[in-house]
Amino acid sequence: MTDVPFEPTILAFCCRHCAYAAADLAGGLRIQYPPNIRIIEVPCTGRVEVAEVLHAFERGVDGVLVAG
Amino acid sequence: MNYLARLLDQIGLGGERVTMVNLSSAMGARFAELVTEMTEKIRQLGPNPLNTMNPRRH
Amino acid sequence: MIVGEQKPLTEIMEQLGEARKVLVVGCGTCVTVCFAGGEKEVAILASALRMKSRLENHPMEVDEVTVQRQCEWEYIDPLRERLQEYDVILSLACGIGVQAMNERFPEFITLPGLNTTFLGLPEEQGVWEERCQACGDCILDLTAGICPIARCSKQLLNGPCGGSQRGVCEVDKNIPCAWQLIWERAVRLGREEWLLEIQPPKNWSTSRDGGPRKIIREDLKLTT
Repeated sequence: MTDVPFEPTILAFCCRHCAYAAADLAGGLRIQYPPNIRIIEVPCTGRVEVAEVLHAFERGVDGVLVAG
Repeated sequence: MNYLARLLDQIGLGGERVTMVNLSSAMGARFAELVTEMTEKIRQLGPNPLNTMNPRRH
Repeated sequence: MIVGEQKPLTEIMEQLGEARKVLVVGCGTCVTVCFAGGEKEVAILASALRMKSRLENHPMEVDEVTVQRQCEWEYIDPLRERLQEYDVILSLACGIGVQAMNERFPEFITLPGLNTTFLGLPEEQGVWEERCQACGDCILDLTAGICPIARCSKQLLNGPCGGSQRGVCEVDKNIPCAWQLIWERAVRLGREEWLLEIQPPKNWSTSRDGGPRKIIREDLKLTT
């Protein structure tokens, strides 16, 4: 198991109107990006609570991206 | 965001693990670029030390 | 309201020492509105403690609960049942809440997670300022509604002193001179005469100088 290269898991909180739409567009344009990202759509990044980001780290994600 | 990064530093996870960005809905290419950069950065930082339960997913 | 500020995470960890099971108890009143010890802060701190303790190789189980008011028996009494499960209780209330918990549940240890800083108000989002010292003998009628006890560094009754420089206190350039504010307000109201009378020394026996204070209202007490 130790020789399996490290692949980070990154959680992304994406604003419905901005970053989520941008991700959608990236998909539509068939732009390649790493599959390490897990997207959660939020109505606005203001919706994201500090405790929620901490919770994600507690459960083991390697990084968090908050994209508005 | 600064508060959160500082808190992660105090906890011992490192504030660099969290990033906040602003995008417009027309920035599909930029989104892909950001995700690539972020993945690379976290890869350098190594795994979250709290993740002892799960073997690395692939 | 009572304004508080969370203690640094490392200090809280030191207090908790070897505890394995911790209950973080928030308060839904003053410390919620000053973002120091409400439900959100309890969730953040509990998560931070769980992670930090795991990283330092003595994992703690940390649970969360927030009561409406930690300084009243009826709000904290329902916690009694749960407390047996924990090594220690960490209160995110003001000093009154921490003491209420210790007094009501003497067999359990409740530790303070906040520093109770002062009685004040949010001057703007993210900024709190002291406004009252609970001296027990209000003189706001004499000082144009601005308290020199809480806001003058010297607590002068007949100010300003010579350290008032262009409206700023000599103690710190970020402190406005309370007596300058009092004078300006009196002038604006056309009530300069309020300030002409020399105030005699204040009776401090109603303040802390008279020892710990207590109010008894016979009319409100429940007769048995």
